[in-house]
Amino acid sequence: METLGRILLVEDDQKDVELTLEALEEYNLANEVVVAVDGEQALDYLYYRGKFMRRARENPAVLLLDLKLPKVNGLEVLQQIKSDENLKLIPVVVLTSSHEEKDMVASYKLGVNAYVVKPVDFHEFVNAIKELGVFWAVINEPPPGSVRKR
Amino acid sequence: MNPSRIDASESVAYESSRPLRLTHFQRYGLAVFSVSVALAAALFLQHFQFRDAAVPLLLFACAISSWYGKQGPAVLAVILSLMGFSYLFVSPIYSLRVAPSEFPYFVIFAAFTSLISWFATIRRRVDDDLRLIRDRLKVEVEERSSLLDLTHDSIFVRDMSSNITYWNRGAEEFYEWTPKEVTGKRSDELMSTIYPKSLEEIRAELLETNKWEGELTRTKADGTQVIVASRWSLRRNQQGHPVAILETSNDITVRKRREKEIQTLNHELATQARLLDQTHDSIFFRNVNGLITYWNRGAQELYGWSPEEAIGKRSHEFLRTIFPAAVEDIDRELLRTSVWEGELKHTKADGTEVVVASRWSLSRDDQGQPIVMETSNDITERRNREDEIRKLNQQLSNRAVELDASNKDLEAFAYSISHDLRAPLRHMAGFAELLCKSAAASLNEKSMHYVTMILEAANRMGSLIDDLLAFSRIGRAEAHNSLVRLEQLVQEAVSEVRQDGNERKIAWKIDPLPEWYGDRSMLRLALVNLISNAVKFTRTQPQAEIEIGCTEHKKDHVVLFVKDNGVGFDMKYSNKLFGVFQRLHAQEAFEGTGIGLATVQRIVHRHGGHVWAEGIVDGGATFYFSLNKSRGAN
Repeated sequence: METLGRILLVEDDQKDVELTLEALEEYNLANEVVVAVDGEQALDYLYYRGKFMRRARENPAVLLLDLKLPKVNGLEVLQQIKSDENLKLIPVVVLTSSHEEKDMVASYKLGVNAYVVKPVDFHEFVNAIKELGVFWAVINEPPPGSVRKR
Repeated sequence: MNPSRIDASESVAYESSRPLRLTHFQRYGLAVFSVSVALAAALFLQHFQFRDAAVPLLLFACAISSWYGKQGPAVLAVILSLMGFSYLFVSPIYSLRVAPSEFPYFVIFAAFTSLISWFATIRRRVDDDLRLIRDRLKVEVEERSSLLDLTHDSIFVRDMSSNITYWNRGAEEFYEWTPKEVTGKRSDELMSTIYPKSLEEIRAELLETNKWEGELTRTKADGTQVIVASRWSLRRNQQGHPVAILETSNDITVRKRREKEIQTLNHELATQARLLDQTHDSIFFRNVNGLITYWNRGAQELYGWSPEEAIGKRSHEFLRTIFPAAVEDIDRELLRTSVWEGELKHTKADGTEVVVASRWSLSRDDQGQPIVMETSNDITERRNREDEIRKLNQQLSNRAVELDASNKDLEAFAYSISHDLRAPLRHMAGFAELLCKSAAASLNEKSMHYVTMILEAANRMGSLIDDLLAFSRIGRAEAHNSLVRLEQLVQEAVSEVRQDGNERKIAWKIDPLPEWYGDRSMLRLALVNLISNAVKFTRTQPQAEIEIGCTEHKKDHVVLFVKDNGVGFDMKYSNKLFGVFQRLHAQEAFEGTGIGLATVQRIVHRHGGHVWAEGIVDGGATFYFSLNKSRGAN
């Protein structure tokens, strides 16, 4: 996997990863994606720890974050990011299966930039992911210190 | 000694016989004078030829001299008489010599004069002795009467016609008349005496027994009325005739008043006791030793002991009192504040225990002894009920804790469903779609149909899960009440439903609706559900009519309805309308999860109302729901 990408996808479910990549492929954004399978790995990536020790010193342009994650859950990752001076500028989009209002309120309180519930319908799902990818990785001007479009 | 005192003795006669007190000169002068007068008178009489007047005159002069002048003047008068007689009347005249022939006459004269003088002197001595004895007697009597004056009892004497003859100092002090003022007055008129019985009866008793005792009401000099205890004794003379009544009396006005007060108090006490008996509260008194002194009917009813059984018993032991605190502390508080209130346990006559709310108040009886009034009423039942309520409350809070726990479980369950169940569905749908896309060319129609079925099933499962979660969320979510403009809310719901629905011709009728307190988003959801139902089930009608209105609008109660002219329903299934997953139509005819109306019901229940429906098959349906302000307004 490319260690330099504009999109950090934090998702433990391989099937979801596959469907997400499938959706992003249509805009050729799939190779921009870095996948972390749990919260711990996501933080390792952001803090250049473990296997991400030697990656380039740049932040992703956007972070797509699932909430239900092994080890460190999505809300904890979000809290860590938003309380770190160096990371808090990274746009974070929560991408979750849940309609739980509790999760949504907690996410917004922690400063999430967007909250998206994955639709069951594949077309809707693909559309949502595509729009997200295009908006955050292409249209949106990321904060300084982020990975730039190549 | 007060000279104005009245003597009991009859001494008035002696007063005038007291002789003149004369000096020596006067006494001897009297002798000379009287003899001279006698001689002069004799000479005067002789001159007018009266015979022998000299001797009696001289004897008279001697007698006067010896009576008033005593021995000395008497002797002088005798000597002067003899000399004057011999000089003037015995021959030889004008000489002191006495002729022998006259000698016997002269001696007899001398002897006679001496004899008269002697008699006068003796008489005089006797007289003096008598006076001395009388004086002594008087002193003695006065001493006795002064003894009577020492007593503060009033003593007076009256004769048989009630005239006062003696009045001691006690009487003066008490009745406030001086002896002078009362002497000779009729005692009963003076003091307006009121007798306890007729005076004749009293007199009869007095004459028979020589004494009488009784209580008299009298008026003093200053007009105040007094009550006296009076004792009379009758004095009789030697012949046994009644002569005087001695009356001793002492003032018992204050004592009588006390007696009367006590009588009044006793009467009041009896009245109070009767009143105390009227109450159903238990009231008893106990004295300083803790002994019961009074026991009312309420106490008898409560404890089952009669007053006869209870009075005289030590109350705490008798009732086997169980105190809420140390009895010493309770007594201390009672002494300090005169009042104590608390709950006690007592044991009744039949051995059962009662809990009483007891009030003790401390007062003092007429002897100043502390006395405690204990008023109690039976609160056993109340206490038992309170215990029961407490137990029920405990159970309730246990249940609440359990409920809370199961709610938490439910929440976790729902959370898990919304995450974990939806993901595989999404994957099924996603990969089926991908399969469809990549193998579209190689799949025949039948295979395509299967893929389509898989996709439909997944989508349906997805909406089932969504509805179910929404439904369970209503149960768990907190209501946020505010003033909601129902009419506006209905408009919003209608436009939301119309957005989703395809363009159909529907005649909407929205009546004026009030403002109401409630959770805006919940009420909106309920309305959306009902209105989308109406839209859905009027699909078969060429001209759909939907009306939203209000049938009842009271201060704390409102009933809304959503009425359509759709397919309606059979009233015998109306009980199934609001159950979860209950459906009255085939999925093919009218799609749906069977959760919409259950959700409506849940929302309405949370607003303290209820929901019901009326319908006819192919005749339309009306869904009513009520909202209560009491639940919604807080």
